[in-house]
Amino acid sequence: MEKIEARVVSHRLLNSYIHHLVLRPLDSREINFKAGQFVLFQITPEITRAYSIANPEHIRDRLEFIIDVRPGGPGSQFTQRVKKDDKVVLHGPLGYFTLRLRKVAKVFVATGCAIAPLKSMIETSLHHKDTYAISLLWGLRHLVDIYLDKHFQELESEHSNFSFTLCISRPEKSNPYFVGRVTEAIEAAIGEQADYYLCGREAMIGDVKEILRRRGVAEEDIFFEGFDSKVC
Amino acid sequence: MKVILHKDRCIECGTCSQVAPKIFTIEDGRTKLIEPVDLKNPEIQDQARQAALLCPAQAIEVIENGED
Repeated sequence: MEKIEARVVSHRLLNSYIHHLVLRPLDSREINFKAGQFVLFQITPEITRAYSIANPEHIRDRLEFIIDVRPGGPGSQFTQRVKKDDKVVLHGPLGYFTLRLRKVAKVFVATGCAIAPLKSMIETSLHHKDTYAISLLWGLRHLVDIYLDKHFQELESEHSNFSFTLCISRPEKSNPYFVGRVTEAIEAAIGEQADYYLCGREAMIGDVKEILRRRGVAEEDIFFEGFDSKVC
Repeated sequence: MKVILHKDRCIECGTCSQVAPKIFTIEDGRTKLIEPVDLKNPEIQDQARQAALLCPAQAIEVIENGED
């Protein structure tokens, strides 16, 4: 596992609590990672925090992160504090939740900032000119929570095999999105042979896995990673 | 040396099984201690210390003078 000394090259807010960080290694090395992996941020000498890499794996000169700071722990505070040109120590890449480039359709299901590893996987698949159907179901709670919607809509218009469904579970007013949870939207996305990638809270993963099992999806076609806000 | 995995804190991220593959494994998405493990082996001891240092959930405790 590598220790990577990096510099913050960009830090912006995607909504009131989602931070988007871009880091570049100080020594300009290429970072070899698999879409879906994470790195550890060294927050203090005693504390690390795991954040998924959000950029596709063919972009190796920088790392992009999407971080929810609402939990308010050491990682959240660090993220809020860090600014352009600051130095950050990373360890990694790590993790087993990675993209399988199998020749089948892919259905990605995320809630909240667990979109980060799936964004990396989707953009990697599209970069590999994957011609199989790629679907993203992304659950957010309120309309004010929305971010990166235009990014995925652009990918949808550029790639005929990519479809994007934004699910808003508690909309304040009428909107063009799917109203409901990803557990409701997933029913319509199950069809042909596909790999399913699930990322979010364990309850969502459990519910979606149960629906997939009931619809006859084989266990080996389901890949998942829990995002736990108790360590943020 | 003694290694304790605090399962109540573990977020199953897999860092330990990659940093210390002779001590930790992931089975069915859950982190487990491999048993038996030779905690008198200096290489394995280093792995244990590294895993404890890097665990983002601080779920690994290494007791240097504990019994294995």
